[in-house]
Amino acid sequence: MSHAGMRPLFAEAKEAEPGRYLAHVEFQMAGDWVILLHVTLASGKKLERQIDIGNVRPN
Amino acid sequence: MNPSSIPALETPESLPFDLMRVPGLGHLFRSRYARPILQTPLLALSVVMILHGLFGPQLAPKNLATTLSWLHFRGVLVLVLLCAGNFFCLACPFMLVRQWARRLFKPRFAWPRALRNKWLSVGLFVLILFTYELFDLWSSPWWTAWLIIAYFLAVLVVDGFFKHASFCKFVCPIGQFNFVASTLSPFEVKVREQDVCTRCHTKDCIRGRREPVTDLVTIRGCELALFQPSKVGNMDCTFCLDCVHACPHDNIGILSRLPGSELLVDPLRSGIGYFSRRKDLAALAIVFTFGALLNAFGMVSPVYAVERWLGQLLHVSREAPVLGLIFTVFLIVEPVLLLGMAAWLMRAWAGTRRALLPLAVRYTYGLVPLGFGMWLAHYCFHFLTGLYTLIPVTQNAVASLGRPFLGEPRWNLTGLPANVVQVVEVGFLVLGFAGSLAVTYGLAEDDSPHRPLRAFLPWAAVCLVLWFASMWLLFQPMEMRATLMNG
Repeated sequence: MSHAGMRPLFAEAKEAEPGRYLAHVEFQMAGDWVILLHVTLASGKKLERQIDIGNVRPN
Repeated sequence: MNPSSIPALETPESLPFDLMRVPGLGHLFRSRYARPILQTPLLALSVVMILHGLFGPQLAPKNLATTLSWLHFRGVLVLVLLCAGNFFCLACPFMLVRQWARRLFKPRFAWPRALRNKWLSVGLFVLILFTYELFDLWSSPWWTAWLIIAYFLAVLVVDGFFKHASFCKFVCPIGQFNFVASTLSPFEVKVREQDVCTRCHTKDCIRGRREPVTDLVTIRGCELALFQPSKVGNMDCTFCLDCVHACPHDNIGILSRLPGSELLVDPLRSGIGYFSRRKDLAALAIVFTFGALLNAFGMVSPVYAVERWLGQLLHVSREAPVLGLIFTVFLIVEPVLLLGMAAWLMRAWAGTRRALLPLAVRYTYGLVPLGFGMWLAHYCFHFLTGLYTLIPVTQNAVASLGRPFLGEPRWNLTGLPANVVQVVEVGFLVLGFAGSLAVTYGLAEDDSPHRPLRAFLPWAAVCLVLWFASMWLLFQPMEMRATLMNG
């Protein structure tokens, strides 16, 4: 969540096909979410990328 | 009811408990360096928060400025107010900087007479609540850091120009929150024996202790104009302990009392006057109580539906006017209607002779426990569910300096489960509701000794409405967005 202190979700992405990774994440509440990708490349180099997902609606 | 009839714990068999008599704690509080000792760590923490807010990661859950401000500080603040007293003002880091600044330049002006009330601070309190929602301060480390910087600058400007504790008494919105909430605290800075004060000729607790030859003040008296022998309750008391240090008879302690007992009485209070004649104080109590619900309303799903509906109705796409309207309804229209109707009904049913406005002002203070219950529920939700987040955020901050000696951030550390915390929240709301019922019944008994129930019922109905509203808010799905109007 964009609010400090809210419980984060963790999921490991699995390679579905070459270059394509899938992860299952269930947002626990409505609002603005942020996905942080922690990637380890084949070379061992580590990357971090942020994807903002705003306006998640309640069920 | 006069102050002597306050339900206190002062019978010879059960003297009030005095925090100053606790070994270690009493020694610390008696020390002239007690305040700087407590202020210094908080000042250091403030500097860290400012630096991390400005230069650290701009994602709120990973930043110390937002995590510490909006989770830990607020949670600890309300819990300390509930369990002890206004000890945050005692340890206020802003005042430490002010003290240093006052060594360089002495304030020359008295605070303007027209502003010697709470109206300015009520306005600032509302402004903080408004900007919190409008700019989503909780999601912005950068804005949070600037809010802390602005606070330091405001203290330096106000207390740089104006004598005494003008900022604390007339400006500081956090201080006003603490003053109102501490009316429900179990401890109060108070004289131990009135007789000792009666015999005292120097009145150092208010005048300060002075050098005999030069007449220069060596130990300050109360900067908030609270004369200890006639001080009643915690309103306007920053727990700075200046009076404790100045009293030549060691006659001032931090004494236990029945929480909220000061709301049951209406004596002439030193530095304040009568609660029932202070419309500005009543306005502060209204913002404190109704603002608690409003602040929580800003975090649940229905607020977005209401905003969209209002936006379409008014044909506006900007958030400020819509939010302004919601604030007007919550903080002006709703209190005026509820308190006005209750006062009118009380006059009609119980035959009270007071005019409507003084009656509404008097009973407004009875709603403070409900408001405090809501602040406790709201702030403790964030604090307890995010209790351990300080660990990974600190680990991450240290690691970003290139020396990860605290280890890799353990982001899976969060806090207590939400369903457990919800039970605690309900407890706070029930406690607040019971407190408000007790205070309003006490006032009704005092105003209408022959028909207390008739006088009480309208106010009980107001308490019930607010309590139901609080409970409804508590069980709403949370939704936290930084883009209110775009949904």
